[in-house]
Amino acid sequence: MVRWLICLLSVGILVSQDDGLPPNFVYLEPIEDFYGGDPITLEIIITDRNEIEQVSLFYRFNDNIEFIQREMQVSYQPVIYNVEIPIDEVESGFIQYYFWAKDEYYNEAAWPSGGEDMPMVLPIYPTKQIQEKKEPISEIVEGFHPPEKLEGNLPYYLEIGMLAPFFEINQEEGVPIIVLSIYDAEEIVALESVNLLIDGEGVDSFNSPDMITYIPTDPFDPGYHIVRYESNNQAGEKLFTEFSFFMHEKSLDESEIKKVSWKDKINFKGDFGWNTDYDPSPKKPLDTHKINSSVKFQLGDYIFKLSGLMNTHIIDFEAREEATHRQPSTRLKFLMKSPYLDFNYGDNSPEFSEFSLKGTRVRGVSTKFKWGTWETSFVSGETKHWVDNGFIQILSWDNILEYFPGDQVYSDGLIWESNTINIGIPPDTLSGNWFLVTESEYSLVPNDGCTAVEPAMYGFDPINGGDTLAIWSGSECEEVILYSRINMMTGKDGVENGEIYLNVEECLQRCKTPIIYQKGFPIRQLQGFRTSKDFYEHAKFGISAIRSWDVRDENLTPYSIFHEGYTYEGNIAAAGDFSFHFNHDKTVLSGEYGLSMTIDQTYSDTLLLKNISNIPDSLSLYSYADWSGVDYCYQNQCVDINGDGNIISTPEFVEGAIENDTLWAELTESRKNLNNLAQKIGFGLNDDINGFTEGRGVSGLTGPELGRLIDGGLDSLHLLLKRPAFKVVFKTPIPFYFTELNFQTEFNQGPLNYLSHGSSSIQTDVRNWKNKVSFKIWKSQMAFTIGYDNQIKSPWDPETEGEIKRSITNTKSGSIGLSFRNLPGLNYSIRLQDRQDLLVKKSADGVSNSDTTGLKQLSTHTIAPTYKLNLGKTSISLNGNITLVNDLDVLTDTTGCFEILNSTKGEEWGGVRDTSVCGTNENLFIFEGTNNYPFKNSGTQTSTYTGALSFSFPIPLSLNLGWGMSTNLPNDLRQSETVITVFSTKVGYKLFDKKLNITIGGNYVIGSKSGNGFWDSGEEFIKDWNQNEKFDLKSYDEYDDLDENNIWTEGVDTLKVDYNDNDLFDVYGADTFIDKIELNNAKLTLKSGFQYKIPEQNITIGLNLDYTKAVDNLKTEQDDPVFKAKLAIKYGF
Amino acid sequence: MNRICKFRIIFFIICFSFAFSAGAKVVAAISTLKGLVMVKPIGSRKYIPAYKGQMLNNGEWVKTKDGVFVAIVFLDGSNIKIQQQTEVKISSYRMTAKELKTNLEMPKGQAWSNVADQGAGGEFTITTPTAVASVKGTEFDLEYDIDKGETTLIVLAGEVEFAGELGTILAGAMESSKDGGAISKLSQEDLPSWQKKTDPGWTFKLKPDKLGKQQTEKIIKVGIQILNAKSKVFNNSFSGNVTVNSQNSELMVSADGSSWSSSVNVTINGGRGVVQVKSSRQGKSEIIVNADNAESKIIGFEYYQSKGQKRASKGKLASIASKKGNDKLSQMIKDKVLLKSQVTAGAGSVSDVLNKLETGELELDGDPDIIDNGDGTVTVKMKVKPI
Repeated sequence: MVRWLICLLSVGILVSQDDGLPPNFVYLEPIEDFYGGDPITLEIIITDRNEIEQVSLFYRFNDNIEFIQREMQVSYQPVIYNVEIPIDEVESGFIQYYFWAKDEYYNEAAWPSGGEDMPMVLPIYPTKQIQEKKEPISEIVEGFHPPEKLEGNLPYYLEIGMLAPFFEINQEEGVPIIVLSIYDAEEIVALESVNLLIDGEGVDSFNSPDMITYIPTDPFDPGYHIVRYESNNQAGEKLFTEFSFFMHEKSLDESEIKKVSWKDKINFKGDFGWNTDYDPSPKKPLDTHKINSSVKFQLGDYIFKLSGLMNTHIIDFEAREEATHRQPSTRLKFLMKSPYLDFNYGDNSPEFSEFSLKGTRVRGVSTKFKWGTWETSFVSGETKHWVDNGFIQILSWDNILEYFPGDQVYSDGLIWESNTINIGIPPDTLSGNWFLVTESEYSLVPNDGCTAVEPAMYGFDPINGGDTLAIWSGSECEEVILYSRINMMTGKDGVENGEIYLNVEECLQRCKTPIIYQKGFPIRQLQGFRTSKDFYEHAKFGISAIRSWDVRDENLTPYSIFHEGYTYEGNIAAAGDFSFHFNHDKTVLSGEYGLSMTIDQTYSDTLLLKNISNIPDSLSLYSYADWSGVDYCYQNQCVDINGDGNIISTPEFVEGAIENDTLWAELTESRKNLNNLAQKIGFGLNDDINGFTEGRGVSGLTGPELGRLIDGGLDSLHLLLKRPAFKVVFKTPIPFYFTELNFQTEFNQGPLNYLSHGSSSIQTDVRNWKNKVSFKIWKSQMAFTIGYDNQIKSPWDPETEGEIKRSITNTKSGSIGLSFRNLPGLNYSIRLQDRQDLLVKKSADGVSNSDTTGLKQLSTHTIAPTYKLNLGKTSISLNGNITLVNDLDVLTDTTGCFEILNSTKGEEWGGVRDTSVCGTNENLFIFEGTNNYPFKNSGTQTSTYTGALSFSFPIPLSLNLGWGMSTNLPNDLRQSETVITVFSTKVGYKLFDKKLNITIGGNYVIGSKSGNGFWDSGEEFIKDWNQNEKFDLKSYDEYDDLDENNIWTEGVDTLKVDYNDNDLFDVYGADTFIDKIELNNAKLTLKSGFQYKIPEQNITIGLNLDYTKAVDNLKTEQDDPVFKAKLAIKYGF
Repeated sequence: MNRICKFRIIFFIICFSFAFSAGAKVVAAISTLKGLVMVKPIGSRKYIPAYKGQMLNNGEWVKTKDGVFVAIVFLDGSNIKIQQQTEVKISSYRMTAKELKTNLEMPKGQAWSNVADQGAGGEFTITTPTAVASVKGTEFDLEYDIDKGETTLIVLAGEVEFAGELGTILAGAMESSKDGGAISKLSQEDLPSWQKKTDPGWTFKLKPDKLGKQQTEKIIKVGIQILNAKSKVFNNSFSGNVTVNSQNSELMVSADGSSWSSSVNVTINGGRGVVQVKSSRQGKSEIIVNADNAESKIIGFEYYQSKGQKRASKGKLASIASKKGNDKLSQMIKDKVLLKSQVTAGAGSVSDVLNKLETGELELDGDPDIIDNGDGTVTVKMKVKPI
C-alpha cells in the first residue's frame, strides 16, 4: 500500500521545480452524520507535483463570524489528509468549512474554490433534543425559570424573527397574536411544510412566504412560552428555530415558587461524556479515550461553567508514553460571566485582534471588564506547557556492580552487553562474558566532564619526538602527537591531572556518554492587555499588546550540547485597530496596525552592546590568547616544535575593549540598561535583534535601520512605518433600484519578520489587495460575483547589495449563479491568474533591477449544476462539479534538443537528429517548436469531476450517491496521466420514533497512472544490447579505427568489444524495456454508524465502525485491512 | 387509453380569474382590530371585512368607520394604529429581512406610528394630501382633517421630518406642527391618547356543527359565542347583533335558513347565536364574524361536489340538450363524466340554474360555447336569461 502512495507522491517528485500549480483536491463527502459534542473527522485527497507543505481546514459553527483554522495531518496514506475537530468545539446546528492547501512553492488553493465565501455546509445534529442558545434569557420573575436552551438550525440566508408578541406581556393585555417575519431570500422553504408549534403543540396558523400569523384561542398561562417554527427546505431537510416570550401574572402564588427544585432555581445543567476510539492503523494510537464533563449554573446575573476534558491511551503503552512528550491535551476550563466582568480560568482562547492575540489557547487567567461599550481585557498564562525530555543513559562499567544478561554498560568508549551475570569482570571480547554492541540506538554525546585543551601547551605536533596521546577539543576526542605530557604553563602532568589521555578510547570514556534523548518543551508564557471602546456604536477603537517568552530551563538539557536544539524566543506584539460601522454593520471600514519584536534569547549580546556603546568594530570586547605557532618552553628550555628556526615562547594575547576602562564602563552601563529593559518586557535583548532575514528583530526594520532608529531617537520613528504590518478592509452594500451591490476591498501587508506568539495566521513578507463585488437580481435568482486580487510576495527590494526572489500574482475571477425556481440551478466560475517571478538585484551603487524568471498563466473553470425534483413524496437532489484547470508557462521554449527515450516517438513527432547541434547522443532530437511536441507547454491540465445524488423519502430513509474523478495530465507528452476516482454512498434510516439513527456507507478510491511509453530511470530492460543500463536508440560494437576514417572498415579495423561475440561489427537498434505502470491501486472504506438517544434519561450512545482495505496491484504482498471503531456515550444531568 | 378522458366533460367553466400578483407581497399583518375593519385587496374594487391576523399586501387599502380601530404590525417591527374614520393605502417594499421602504398614503383620518429603527435601507413615510412625514425609529401621531384640509403632526418620541404646504421642519419629541409650519411645544396633556383605547371588548368563539369537507349546498350551522376579548371568558349577558360576512359570493350565509346572501346580521341572545352557511361551489372559503367593539373572527370551510351531484348535473344538461335539439351538445357530452361545474356570473347554484332551465323559468341566451380543450376534456359555457 505504501508503495502506491509513494508512486502517487512521485508525481510530485518527477518535477522538482516549481510547477506553478496549486494543489489539486478530491473531496470525500463524509458518510456519517455529525452530532454536537462529538468529534468530527474530515478528510480530503490532495495531490500536487510539488511537495504539499501545509493543508488546513477552516471551519465555523452556526452564526460564528470567524473561521477557525486547524492544520490537517497526512494520514497513513500520503495523499489523504485528515483532521479531527475536538469535541469541546462541536456545536449542534451546522458547520461551514473549506479546505486550503499550499505546496512548497506557496502555490495555494481552496476547496471549494470560493473559500469562506462558498463554504460547504453540513448539519450537526443535536445529541440531546435541545441546542444551547447563544444569549441567555434572563429570569424575569422569581420562580419562573427561562428556557435554558432554544433550538435553531437555520442557515444564515433564512432569517426569521418574532414581531409579536413582545418578549414580556401582561395577562391583562389579553391573548397576544403571534406574528413571525420570514425572510427567505433564497426561497428554500417549502411553504406547505411550514408548521408552527406553541409550547410543543402544533397550531393552525396563517402562513405565507413572508409572514406567519396565529391567533391563540385560549389565554396563556403565566410564565415562559416557546414558539417554534418548523419547515422543510426544498431538499426535504428539517429547518427549525425557536423564540420565547414571558406572560406576566398579576401576582405570583408563593407556594408555586417553593415547589421549584434547586436545580431549576440555579438553572443547573451538566453532562458527562466518554469517547473511545480503536484504531490499529500504523502510527496511530491503538486506543484513545476521551472523558469530558461540564456543569453550568446561574446565580442571578452570574453564569458559571466548569468543563474538563481528559485524553489518554489505556492499552497502547507506547502511545501513552509518546503522549508524555507532546503538548498535553487535557483541558480544564472555568468560566464566569456577569454583566460587568467575564472571568476565565484554565484553557481558554481570548481574542484581542488579528495582529496580537487570536486563535491561541492560553492556560491561565483571562478577564474582561465591561462598562457599556468599553471593554478591557487581561490575559496571563501559558501557551506552551512544560514537557519533560526523554533521557536514557548507559552508565560506565563499575567493578562493584552486578550485571545481568542484557544489561548494557559503557567502557573504553564502547557499548557492551552482558552475556551472563557479571561482577568485577571488565567488558572485553576475550572473556566471553560480554559482547560488543556495534549497532545501538544510543548516541555518544559530550558529557561536559572534560575541558578543552590547547595542545600547544604540551608542544603540539613536534617535528621530532613526542607521544601519541588524545585530547578533548571541546566537541570531540582527537588523537594528537604531543612533545611532552607536562603543561608548559602550569608544569603539571596532563595525564595525571586528566587534561590529556593515553588514547582516544580513554578520552571517549571520560568525555562522552551514550544516551537516547528526546526533546522536551519549555514553558511559553504570554501576558496580554486590550482595551476597546465603541463610540456612539459607530466608531470602535482598540489597542492590544502581548508579551510572550519561552522560559529557559536547564532541566531540559542534561548536557550542554543539547542547548542548541532549543530556541528561547521572546516576543512582543502591539497593535491598534479601528472600526467604523454604519448601516447596521453593513458598511464597515476597519483596519489594524501592528508592531512586533522577536528575539531568540540564545544569541549573544556582543554586537548589540558594541553598537549601543559605540565601540568600533575593530575592537573586540574580550581578549584571548592566540596559540598558533607557539613553541614548547618549559623551565627556560624551549623546543622549536615546528622547526621554523624561530622560538615563540608565549601566546599572543589579542586585547579588546575589556582593556579600555572607559569603553568597559559604557559597556557595563549599557548592559545594565538592557537588563532593566529585559525586566520590563520579560526577556533579554541580544544580537538577534538584527535578525530581520531570519524573521526576528523589530518588525519591518533591518539591522542597520534598527540601529538608525536607536541612534536617531524620535526623528527615526518614521522607520516604524517603513514596512508596517497593517490591514484595511472596507465593505458596503450599494443600493440600486433593482438590486443591492455588495462591495468589499481589503489591503494588507506583513513584513518578513512580523510575529506574534498569540496569532499564528499572520501572512508575512507579502502584500495583498483583494476586491470583490457581488449582487443578485431577479429575486436573487441570478447571482454575480466579480473579483480582482493582487499579491506580491517579497514586495520590498533588498536594502543593501543583494538579491531577492519576488512573485507578483494577479487573479481575476468571476462567477454567475442561476437558481430559477423549478429549474435546475447552475453556477459557473472562472479564475484567471497571471504570475510573474522576478529576481530583484540591488547593486553596490544602490540601483535595483529585476529579471523575469518565470511567467505563468493559470485558468480555472468551474461548473456546478444542481437540480432538485420531487417524485411523489420522494425528493431527489443532484449536484455536480466540473473543474478544469490549465496552466501555461509562457517562458517555455519548445525549440531545442530533447531526449526521447523511445524508439519511435522522436521521429514520429517530427524531431530531427543533428549531431552538430545536439551531439552524438542518439536519443536527442531537435524540435522546432512548431508543433506540440514534446511539450504543449511545461504545465499540466487538471480536470476534476464530481457528482452527487441524494434521495429523501417520505419514510425516514435517506440515500446519497457520490462520484468524483480527478485527472492530472502533464503537457509533457513523455509523462502519463494520473487518474484518481472516488465512489461514495451512504444510506441512513431512523427507527423508534427517530431515536435510533443508523447510517451505512462507503467510499472506494482508485488511483491509476499507466506507463508513459518511454524508458525511465530504474525501468527494467528486456534487451540492453550494450549492457550500459541506459536506453539507447542505437548501439554499436566498439572497434579500433585503424584507417582513421571514422567508420568500420571490414578487414582493416579490429573489434575491441563484440557484444554478441559473433566476431562481426554489429549495429543494434533500440533497446527494449518493460514500461512500468506507475500507479494501480484501490482503497475501500466501509463505514457504519449508530446513534441511539434515550430522551427520558438524557443519554446518547453512538457507535461508528470503519473497515478499510487498500490494494496495490503493483506488488504481491498486501497490507492487512484496518478495522476501526468509535464509541461515544453522553449523559446529561 | 383515452377512455377516461373521453368520459370527461367540463361543464360551466367560467373564465379565468386573473391574479394581480405584481407587487402583491405580504408586508404587514393586522395585530388588533376593533369593529368592522375593511380591506380592499389589490386588484379588487370593493372592500371586504378584515380579520385579526390577516396579512396585508403591498398596495392594499385599509379603512375604518366610526368606532372602528385597527393596529398593524409591519415586517420591520413597526406598529401602526389607525384611528376611526381613516383610510390608508399601504405601499411597502422589503429591502432586507428587517428593512422596509414603507409609505402610508392617508387621504383622511389619523394614525399613530411607532416606527422601528430600520437602518440605512429602511424608510417610513406617511403622506397626506397636504404633507409628508418621514421618520426612523420614532413614535408619532399624524392626523389629516379632511374638512380643514390640514395635516397635524404630534411627535411623541424621536424626530420626524415633516414636509407640508407651509414648509419642511424637523420636529422633535413633544412637538407639534401643522402642514410643516411653525413647531409648537406640547405638554403631556396635549398628547393623543386614542391609541391606548383601541382594544376590543369582545371576541367570538365559532363552533361549526360539522367538521371536515362538506358537499356543496349542504348547510353548516355555526354556533357563535361572545367572549371577553382579553380573558376569553364566555359572556352570557351579551345581547345584540353581530354581522357575518362571506369572503366570496358562492358561500352564502343566513340567519334562519330562509334567505341566503353574502352578509347577514345574526341576533345574539345570552351570549349565543347561530349562523347557517352553505356553498354552491366546491373549494375553500371563509366567513368573518364581527360586531361593534369586537375583534372579528374568521372561520373557513371546505366544500366538494359529490359524484351524485355531478351525475345529476350531467343528466340535466343532457336532458336540456335533448329538449332544445342541440345534437352537437348531446353528442359531445354523451358517455362523458362531469368534472366540475361552476356559475361564473350571476347568482345561484349550478343545480338551481339547471332546474330552472329544465322547468322553463330560464332559457339559453344563444347557443352554448363548446370548447375542445385538446386533452380529452371539453368546456361548455352557457349563458342563460329569464324568459
